[in-house]
Amino acid sequence: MGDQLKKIADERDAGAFESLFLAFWPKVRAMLMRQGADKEMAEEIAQETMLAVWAKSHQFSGEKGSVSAWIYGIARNLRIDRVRQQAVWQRYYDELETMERLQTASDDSAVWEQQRPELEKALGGLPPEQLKVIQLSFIDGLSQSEIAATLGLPLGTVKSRMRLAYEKLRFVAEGGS
Amino acid sequence: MTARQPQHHPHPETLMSHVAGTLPNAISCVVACHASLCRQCADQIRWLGMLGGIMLKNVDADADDHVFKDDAAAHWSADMLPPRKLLHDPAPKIDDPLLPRPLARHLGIGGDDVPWRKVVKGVRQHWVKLPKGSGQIRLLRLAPGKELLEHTHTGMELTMVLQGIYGDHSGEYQRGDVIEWEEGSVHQPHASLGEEECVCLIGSENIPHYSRLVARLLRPIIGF
Repeated sequence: MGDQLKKIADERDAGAFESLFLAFWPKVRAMLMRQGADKEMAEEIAQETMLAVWAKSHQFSGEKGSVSAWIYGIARNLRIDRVRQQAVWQRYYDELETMERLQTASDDSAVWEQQRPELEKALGGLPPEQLKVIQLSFIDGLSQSEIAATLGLPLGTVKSRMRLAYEKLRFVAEGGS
Repeated sequence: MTARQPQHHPHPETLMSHVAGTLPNAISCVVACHASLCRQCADQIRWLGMLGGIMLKNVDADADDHVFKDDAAAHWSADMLPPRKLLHDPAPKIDDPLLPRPLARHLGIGGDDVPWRKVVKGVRQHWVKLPKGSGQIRLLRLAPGKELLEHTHTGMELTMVLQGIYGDHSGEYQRGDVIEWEEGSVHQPHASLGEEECVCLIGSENIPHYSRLVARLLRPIIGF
């Protein structure tokens, strides 16, 4: 996927972008609809997300970053901005990361990227009740108290499930196995 | 110059919700400000972003609607692609000794230009304007040794120290440190004695509840 983006960035390859668009546009739309956007709004934001990927693809260093993480961040920022109409504090961070990629020949993101398959495996290996809670957070966009209400659990239980999942995933992300 | 790295961080589930974009806006502000000074939390945010990407990739877009894939094709056209944006520095290099970058960018001012308002002797504050439903953010400036009123919270609250030493029953904290209060916890913060004023950034989901009746009656007047 990183190679694809490199092609888009270096060669301005609309064909390579088309396959990225077809792969991610439906996922971004589905995620936004799960987060409560109506179909029209979800499609608009999905479109805007993918156009931002195209417009900024030259800022992305394919071999180091994760395309899906980048797309996730753009879609999340647009949702906060458009749907919640609030300040997007996360944006600073995504920009900083882009800057770091541009400025340094080698940085830690290479290490993170190596851990990506491991992280994906560890995510799949989480106990179902922990996986459910972080899916409701990352994909359905529910706050901790909304998750508690949805699952009929005390808020403390939701927090501790998130914390347990975090500790397991962090261990893998930081190079443990 | 290597600044002291913060020793106290937001809770893991708070970092997670920050990356998922589900925190009250005021709380996300404090997390972003902390992470701009904290290498450790910056790294956590980075892998959590990758986790978000993995989960996005795993979203089954066809689960509810079999025409989803065709819909994407219908929205695709090579003609719609905009020209690439020119490379620019997206984060202006504001290096303010007091305000962390995300906040300095939001306010568009540096620490010297904060329009402080006196609340009582030794206490000044500035409310950060936010859209409705975002929670509350304020900058609080305490004279050395100044103690605040005891209060409790009905929602999340994060306090980040920007200058001086801030203390309460749980310990003492310095620049970059974040204290995350559990819902319902009671505390009475103070600025440590010394020469330096203490400046804090406080993000709260709800307005704090004061333990003493007199403080509750005064709150609308003194405003904190």
